[in-house]
Amino acid sequence: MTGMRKRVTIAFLSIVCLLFVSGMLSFVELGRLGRGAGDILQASRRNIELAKEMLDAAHELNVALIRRTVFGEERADSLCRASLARLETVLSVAQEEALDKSFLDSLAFATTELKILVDSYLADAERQALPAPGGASVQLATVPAQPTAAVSAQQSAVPAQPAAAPAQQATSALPTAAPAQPASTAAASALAASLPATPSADTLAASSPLARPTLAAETARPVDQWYTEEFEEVYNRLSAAVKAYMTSTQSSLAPRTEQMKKNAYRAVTPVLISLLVMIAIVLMLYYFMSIYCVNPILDMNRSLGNFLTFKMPFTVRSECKDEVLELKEKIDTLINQQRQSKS
Amino acid sequence: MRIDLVMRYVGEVMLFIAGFMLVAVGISYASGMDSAFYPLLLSALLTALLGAFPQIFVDKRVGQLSNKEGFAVVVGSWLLACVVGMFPYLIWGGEFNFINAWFESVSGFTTTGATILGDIEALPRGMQFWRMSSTWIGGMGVVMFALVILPSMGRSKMTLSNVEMSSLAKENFRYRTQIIVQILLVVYVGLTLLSTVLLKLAGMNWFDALCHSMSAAATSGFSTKNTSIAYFNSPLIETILIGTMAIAGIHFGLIYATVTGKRNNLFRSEVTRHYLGLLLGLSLLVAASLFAAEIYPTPTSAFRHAIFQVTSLITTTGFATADTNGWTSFAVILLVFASIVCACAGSTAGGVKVNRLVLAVKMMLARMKQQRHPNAVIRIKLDGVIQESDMLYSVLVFIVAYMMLLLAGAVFGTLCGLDATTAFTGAIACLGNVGPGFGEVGSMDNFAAMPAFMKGIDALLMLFGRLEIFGLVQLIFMKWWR
Repeated sequence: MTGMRKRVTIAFLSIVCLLFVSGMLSFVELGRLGRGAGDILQASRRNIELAKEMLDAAHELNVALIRRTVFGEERADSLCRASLARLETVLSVAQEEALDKSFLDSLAFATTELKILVDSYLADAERQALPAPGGASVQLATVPAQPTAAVSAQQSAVPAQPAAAPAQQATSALPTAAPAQPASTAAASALAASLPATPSADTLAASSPLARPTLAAETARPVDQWYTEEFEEVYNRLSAAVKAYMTSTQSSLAPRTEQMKKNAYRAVTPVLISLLVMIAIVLMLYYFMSIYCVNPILDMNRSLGNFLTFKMPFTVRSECKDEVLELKEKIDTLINQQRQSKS
Repeated sequence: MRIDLVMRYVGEVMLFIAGFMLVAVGISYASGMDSAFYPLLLSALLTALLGAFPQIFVDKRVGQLSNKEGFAVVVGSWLLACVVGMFPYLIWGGEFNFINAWFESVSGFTTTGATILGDIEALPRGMQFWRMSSTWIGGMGVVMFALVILPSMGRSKMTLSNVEMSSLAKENFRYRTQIIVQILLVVYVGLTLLSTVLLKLAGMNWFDALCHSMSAAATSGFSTKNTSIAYFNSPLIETILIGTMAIAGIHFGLIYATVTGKRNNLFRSEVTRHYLGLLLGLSLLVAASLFAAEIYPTPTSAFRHAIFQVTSLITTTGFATADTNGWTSFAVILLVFASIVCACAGSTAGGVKVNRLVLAVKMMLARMKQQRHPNAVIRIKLDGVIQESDMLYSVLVFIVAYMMLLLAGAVFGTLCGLDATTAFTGAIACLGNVGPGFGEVGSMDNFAAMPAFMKGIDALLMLFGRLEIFGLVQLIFMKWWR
């Protein structure tokens, strides 16, 4: 390859390489951005799906519990447990998939709270099941005291569920040195210990109805009172937490958009830098082509014209190299030969 | 002016910088391909391409560079180095937005050592090394690298070094180009390596030892730790760094002459005596002030911290072992004075320089003498050499210009809402290439909280300081380029 051609080829190859790199970078970064945006949309959709399932499960549990307490349907027990298990399963899926886990803290807490409450209710109800036909009404009318052991046993018996597992483990691992502790207090302590150490968890643990060694420790009380004072309160909290979780993606959309904007800026930075370098290189190429090719040729053309028209000497002021230099020298030789032949 | 030739030389400097980026890539790879790997690799490729392009078209030419061409190579190299130096920061991200990356890059190449990073330790190793490399390259002088890699030897290099090195240094020590290369190898590289080994022996790991040695030899002050040298809390490490910084503040030619047993050596230099005297005197005064104010319980601990901070500021390094914001006003004023005067010409330090201070004082004394003896012919000598009036005039002009720029920097700072201490000492720190100031930009703080506009102004001050003010001013006058 000749000098000029080699230089130009290398220069163009450099630009092509840079273009390729810039293109690839754009492709990769845009792909990453697209994935980021897709993730947010997917998370939003999934959020709503999971929240809907949780609400369904909670509703099912509520209905089952009403059937058990109002109509005394014993088979509703299994329905209660199945609803709870479904709720926990969905919660564990949500915990696995969540981009922002902070919204799930209160939900996990409310679920565990509900589980402990319902489990202890079902355990006691099973124990105190009355043989008489009117027993249902008796059972309906009161909620018996809940000894610690019963709760522990009940909780130990429940198959390990991801969301409730820490609470169960903690509850069953309660030291025997504190047997006098009321069941509800122990459960709440275990609950608080099992959850992430967030202020909300502590506050909830402290204010939980389970934390209060209520009437349950002393006397039986009407089931409607238990339902309205304890279950309904926890159920409402769970519903609120599920709704908060449902809108969590939307709530965090503003900071995420901000983050996406930042990411977009970061993503295009390498491409922008590559483009800037390419512009600099193209400008350099233009400059070098001008001073080493265009200007000498224009100069030679002008000088050759002057020579032919006015017989002015052939002079080229621009710097020549490679083939352009050869061309100039050849023109010089031709002019000299012409002069010699004339003379 | 032969712009193509200038582009070729600047391109060679870019290739050198790309080489250092590749070393940083290697370190990033060795650290388990940390997050700096791809940003550094891409930056190295882009910089190399930018540097290689002029090599394709412009042939090596025998001949010399004119003054203007030499100047253009120096300023062009420095500015372009700062531009390509921010590529890795920008691509990596983190705390670096455009202005922060520009500030950090300029701070590195001008050996200022000021940072916008709130958490330096969060940087991956590759990026840490690149920060140190930029400052080390800056310390050696982008143009000095150009001298090393220039293929032809001759007067052209002297043209470059006339701009690069302080004109005072060049007037006093007319070195030939080959010797400049030797000086760099023996003094700069030697000092860095020696310091690295000593710091390693003193308890640092190899990476920290190398990084801090590079930073100390370049009188930069970049550290790999958020709390700078205070992190190590080791008198031995501090002593080694005091030695390194103090040596780096002396004229490199004199150190070379001393090492090679030349007659015109360090011990005969009046400027060096003044520099070392100033360093010790200020340290003692600061230590006495700190001890008297009961900031430190013992004279030894007061002296330990005082000498480190004074050496760090007078050599324009900027390492810290204590928060000087809590020191007495007297100590702070002395440190501010040290930040303005700085070390010797011909070193990597910035600032007014002891040479100019000595000459200015001699001129004042001569003026007083002249008033007493109006007809007397009074000559001003430095190191036994009579100084020409042109030289003395340029010294005064430089000092006046320096003070005016300081004032301008402080005014801009206050306009941006900074308090007077921060604005004024921030301007001193940037113009003198020192690094830390006082107030919000104290020794344990950084420039992150500064408004973006002020960061831009500070970066400009750093460039002014590094190019001895007039080097950059000439760039503005287009007529000069014709």
